[in-house]
Amino acid sequence: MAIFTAGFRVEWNTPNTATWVDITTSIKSVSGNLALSGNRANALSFGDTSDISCDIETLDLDLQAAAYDERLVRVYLTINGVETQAFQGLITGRERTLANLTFTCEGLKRIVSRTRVYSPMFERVPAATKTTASSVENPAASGYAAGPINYGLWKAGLRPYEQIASYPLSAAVKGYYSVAEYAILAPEFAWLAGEDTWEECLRLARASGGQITQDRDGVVRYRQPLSFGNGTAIYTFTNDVYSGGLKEGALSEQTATKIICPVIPRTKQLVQTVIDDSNPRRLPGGLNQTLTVQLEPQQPIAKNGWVLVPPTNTFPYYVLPGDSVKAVFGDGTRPTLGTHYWYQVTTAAQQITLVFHNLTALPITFTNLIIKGAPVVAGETITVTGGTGDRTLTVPDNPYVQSEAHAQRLITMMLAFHANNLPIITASGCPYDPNRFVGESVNLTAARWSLSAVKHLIVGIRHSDTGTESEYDMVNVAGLPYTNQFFIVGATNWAGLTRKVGY
Amino acid sequence: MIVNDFEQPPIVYAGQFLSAADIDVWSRNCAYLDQMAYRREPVFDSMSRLGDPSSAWHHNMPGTTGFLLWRGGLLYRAHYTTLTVRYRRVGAIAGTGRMRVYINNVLRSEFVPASGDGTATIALAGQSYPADSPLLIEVRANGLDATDRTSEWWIAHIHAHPAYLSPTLSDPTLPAIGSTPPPTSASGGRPWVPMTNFAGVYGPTALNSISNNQLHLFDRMNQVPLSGNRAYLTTEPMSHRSGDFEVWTGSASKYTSVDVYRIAGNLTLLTAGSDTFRVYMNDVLQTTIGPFTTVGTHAFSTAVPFPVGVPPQRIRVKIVYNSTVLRDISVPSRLNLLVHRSEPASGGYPALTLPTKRPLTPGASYSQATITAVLNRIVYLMNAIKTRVDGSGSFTIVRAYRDNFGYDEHARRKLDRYHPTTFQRRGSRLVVYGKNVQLGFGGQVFELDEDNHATYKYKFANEQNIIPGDKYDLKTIYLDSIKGLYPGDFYYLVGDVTMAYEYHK
Repeated sequence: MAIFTAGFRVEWNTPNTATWVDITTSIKSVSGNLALSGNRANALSFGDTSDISCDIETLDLDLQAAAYDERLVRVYLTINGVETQAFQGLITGRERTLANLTFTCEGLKRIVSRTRVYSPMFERVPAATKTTASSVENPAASGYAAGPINYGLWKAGLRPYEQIASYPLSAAVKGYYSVAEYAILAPEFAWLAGEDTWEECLRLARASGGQITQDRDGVVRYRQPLSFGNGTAIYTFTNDVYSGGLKEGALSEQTATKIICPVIPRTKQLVQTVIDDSNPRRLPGGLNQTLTVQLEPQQPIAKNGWVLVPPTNTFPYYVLPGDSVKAVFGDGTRPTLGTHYWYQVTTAAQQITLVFHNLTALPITFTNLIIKGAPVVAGETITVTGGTGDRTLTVPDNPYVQSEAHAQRLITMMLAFHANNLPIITASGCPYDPNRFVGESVNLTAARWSLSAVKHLIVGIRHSDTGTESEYDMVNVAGLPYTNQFFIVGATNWAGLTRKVGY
Repeated sequence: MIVNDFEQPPIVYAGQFLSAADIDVWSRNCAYLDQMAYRREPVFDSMSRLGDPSSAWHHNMPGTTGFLLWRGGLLYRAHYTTLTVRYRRVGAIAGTGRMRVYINNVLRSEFVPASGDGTATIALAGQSYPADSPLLIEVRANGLDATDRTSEWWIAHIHAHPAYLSPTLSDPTLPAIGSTPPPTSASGGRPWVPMTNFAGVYGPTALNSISNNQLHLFDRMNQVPLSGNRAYLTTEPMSHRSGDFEVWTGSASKYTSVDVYRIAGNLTLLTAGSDTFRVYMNDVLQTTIGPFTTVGTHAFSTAVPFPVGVPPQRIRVKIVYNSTVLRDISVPSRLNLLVHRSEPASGGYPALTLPTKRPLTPGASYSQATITAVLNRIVYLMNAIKTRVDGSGSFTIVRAYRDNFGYDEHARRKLDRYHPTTFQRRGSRLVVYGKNVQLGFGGQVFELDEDNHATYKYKFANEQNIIPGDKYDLKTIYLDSIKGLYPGDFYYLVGDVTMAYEYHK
């Protein structure tokens, strides 16, 4: 039996700065839980929510006066002198007794989920696009071409991990995200419209065949499923490691040989009136008084689909066409744009915001706003079926599956990942290994199960007693397709080679 | 293979796998674009309704107020620079005869028409015509001496160009072709980029060029609307008459070497006789249909070959009805010309052969040689379709729409059900400018009089009002929203239609 020495270090962040303060001396114990997905029936299922959590118990009440709500915290575990980060996230709860405090922490999902984002329309852009040191991720930057998941995470205050040097933690930067490989599928139309952004990202992941995880380094990652079995395993779980044994829990509820996928087709229509708002609104009198009007069309508007008049020398900002805004002074006369008032327009796929500015001392009433755009309209839901047999799985309605072709691609991918049981194998009684991480390919050897160095994917890690004890959840990925089996778009010359074609 | 719709082609990035589904989308789009690049073009209707006999080959009316030769509409787009009027004049001009072209009731061009075939061009650019609004076009003969009864004036074609809006806006969110993002037009148009064969490397630039060029071709062809033509229903060509009578004049397109002119309809005779049609092309008798001798309804559908010549060409067509019997008005004949258009001579236009290995199975293994052959076939198809579109007359100009006209409003409205606009549905969007317009399809249902005899009053089995009767309006009709009207079905627009165009999307 090997003997390990374990230690830990806990830091929390000085709010809105990149400064971390060591609070290890106040901490009694740490326990945590990392999982690729919460789905016990198929941990590789697309778009299931991933959870990461940590409980930090203090020695005393020293930290009780400190602000804690949504404060960033990170935990390092040291095993045999090797220190590695085991958790980074937010404090989301505190329990206090007369003796000590226990902080409950979770990942950045909390922040993303609570941020309401209105995005422009993304047309046939992969749900998540690869992040690199030079990828343009700032939506305000020239050449922006990132995917809708990147957009949502950016707007939630996360920044590309590969560009961390340019984006230290601050009031605006709450954390980081990373996309190692492009999402496989690209919805015809994708947009965010003020819903729960995390849930929308998961829907996009479900529609594109991927997973969004919160990793131990605090980074939110998008993973495409062909990455699961890719690469060479450099570590093997043997019975020397899992002293507590192995346990397999096979649930067959998500094993399917036939998939039914609903499709909500969407088509782009011609420019038409999309907002006809006759609610009178009063812009108070007085120079620089403002009135903000936010309107939402019934259907999202296509990319560049809002009808706006480009800036000119007279009006150096986008405005609506001349007959769109009907305004009146109290005496019935008509105010003139540019002389009596002006306004700014900002647009998203399903929102348009007008900020009116008064240039006079008199109040102005806006009586009608008639706004045109090219809506992307949903048609009647159809269903697409793939595979055979009686073991049927129905994909939940997903607004981002908008064509039969998309559904067929998704079904083909799902069949590859749902055709057989993918039971979760839990290795318990393990020492915490700082080099193991969720999403890593490892080998598993278990003579009683006739497994000899079979490739598995770590889908969950739980540690307790400050890293002394750990459990690892693994899934057999030996039979699943993986990236290196395929022709890859790029500079490689495949002459004379045989490879698979993708979905 | 029947392909129902053009699909948005994929954008691929370095590092993604090469997708069987993407390759299949490219292949299917090639099939769709291949179909789309052929058009069964309806004829261009040159008839006017003044005079006896009724004909655009009319003997010119004297006077200075002018005689209306042609009237119609055009959906103006901001990039149209030129309106072209192709005409034919035969015979001497007496007096100060001029041809006048009016746009939106403003005289835009006045000239002495050349003898024989001639062309006049009118600038559309710089006239401040509102974009995407209809232009009313009228062509008149004017100033002819009262003694002129011999010259013939004929409007053979009216069209605008350029048909395609060249890309102008730079869109950095589109995938780069080469090192820079390509420009795009507001409607999604893309410039064509040259393609070369693959040789084992599947780079994103080369693959995205396929998508780019598919968008280019689709947008380019979709910017040119599908035209309808005036059907010729329920008329009495030979009441109280024997001998020749011109029933139709116009022009037809010979845009490919396999095009023929198709005339189809039915003739109902209440008394026996020997009735025929003669089809003249460029003034030469091309074929005679008939004779129809017995009482009853005679259906006809005849493919008439075009004169020898290299396409693209426009061919003037005249249809002359002949009856050897003088019939009383109480026993009129009834003629319906339901279809006349250009179409392929045999079963269809020649379709290009798709990649032999299709569709690829997702997740299956293939050799590089197989994949390369599939992609190179797609490249070949794209280049072939591009060549056809470049050379076809169907996609370089936008044809004006022919309106009904008569002495006055009353006379004009009488023609609504005799000459409804007919379309064979191919697209999904219909743009109509008019007033009190009905869209009808299915069979004609005739009213019966008190003696249970069929009258000439009819309705289509399915009719619905698409533009109310109180004012002229520009409406977009999404044809999928009309239940029972499927692609391939004929449908008719009845009412005061100034302009109607169908688009794929």
